[in-house]
Amino acid sequence: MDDELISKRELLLAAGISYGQLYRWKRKGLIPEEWFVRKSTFTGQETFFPRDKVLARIDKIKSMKDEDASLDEIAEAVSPNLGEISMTIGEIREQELVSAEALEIFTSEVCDCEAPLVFGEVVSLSALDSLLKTGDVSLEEGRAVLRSLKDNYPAFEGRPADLIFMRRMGLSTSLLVSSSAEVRFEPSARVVARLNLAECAEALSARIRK
Amino acid sequence: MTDESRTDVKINGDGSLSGGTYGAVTVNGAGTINGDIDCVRYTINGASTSNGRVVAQEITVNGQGTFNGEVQATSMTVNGDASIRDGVGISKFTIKGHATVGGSIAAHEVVVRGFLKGAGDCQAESFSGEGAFTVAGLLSADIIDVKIYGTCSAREIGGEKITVRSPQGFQSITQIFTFWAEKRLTVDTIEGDDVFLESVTAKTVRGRNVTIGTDCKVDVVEYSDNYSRVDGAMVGEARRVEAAGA
Repeated sequence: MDDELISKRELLLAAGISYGQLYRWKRKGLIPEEWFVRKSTFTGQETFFPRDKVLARIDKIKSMKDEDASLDEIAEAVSPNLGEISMTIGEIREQELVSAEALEIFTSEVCDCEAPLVFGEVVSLSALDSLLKTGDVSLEEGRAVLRSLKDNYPAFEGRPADLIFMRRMGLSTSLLVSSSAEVRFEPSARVVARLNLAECAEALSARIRK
Repeated sequence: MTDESRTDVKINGDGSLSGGTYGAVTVNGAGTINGDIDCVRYTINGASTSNGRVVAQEITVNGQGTFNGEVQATSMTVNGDASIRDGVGISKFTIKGHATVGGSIAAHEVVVRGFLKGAGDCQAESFSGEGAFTVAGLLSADIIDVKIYGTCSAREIGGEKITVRSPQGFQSITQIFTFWAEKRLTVDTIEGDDVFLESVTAKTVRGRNVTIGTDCKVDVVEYSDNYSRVDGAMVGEARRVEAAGA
């Protein structure tokens, strides 16, 4: 599941941007700090980036710049203030944003009220839905993941976190790790899914806006 | 911000103030502020210690200021000595004396005409001055233009246009005081589009247009468009790399 890395020099070349732009975008928070991976190479310290993510982000920044958006506007768009995602169970059910099964587990485990969901709940629901859609996670396992998210996600206090769901010899388990963490597994373990939780919630909230 | 509800406070002599919202806070003598304050102006003529966070439009330190907490200001001018325990967010940060920042510095404009010491990163749109600085982390700004009058260091420097000059010859009477200090900037990596360096020791310098001036010691230069080096500057290896399209 390791993202392929790209060095800073290759990135500038591939994206056609300058050092000035890269540092400016970093300062403005357009490119998140955790994507700057410092590694020692034979030429000294070099900085690497997760290739696909950073190229997609730069494409987005450039296309927004072409539409004359200010850097602050872009910053808001690429890292939306996730606290502001607002949706209710009713809206989700009506617009069929998640599968009926995911919603049923969620309402029985977490809450079934008409108040807008808080961010952590949106994260839990979207992660559960993504897991169930893989077809490799049973409803009962989904329920366990949901409980774990409910208990453990708040401890990350909004820092980027990934959910890893894995299976080994018929047993399944899930864990939450910070997004920058490198995790290695024994060979007989099979990682069913590694989800970036904030991205899950963004994807879900993007669907509701349409 | 409703200014009517803000009262001005003056400490003449020795006094203390509790946290809260104020208009102009002036310390003429020795002051202590216990708690977070939010004020329009905070002026120290003497010595003052704030135990808490300081939010102000304008901070002026003419004597000695100790800030045990974060500082957020539209402008901060240090004419004496300021010591800040945590990070700062200051739109215009001018240091004419001596400033120590225990956290990271985020600013629009940093002007150093004295000495700045930062224990974290320093990020600004422009970073300029004549003086000395040490930044433990990354110094990043669109425009970095400094003339160094002392021992300077940073872990990394990155930006668009980076100019580091060392004073050549005898320029002004003030130089008498700094004449014997070693004037050199030591840094791991410098990355910029237009880079001009003098009296810099660096492991790696990367840029589009790179000029290595007098008294430099650079292990590796990677440039994409132009490169020049004056006689006497030491460069281990200079290699041309492919340029970005833009």
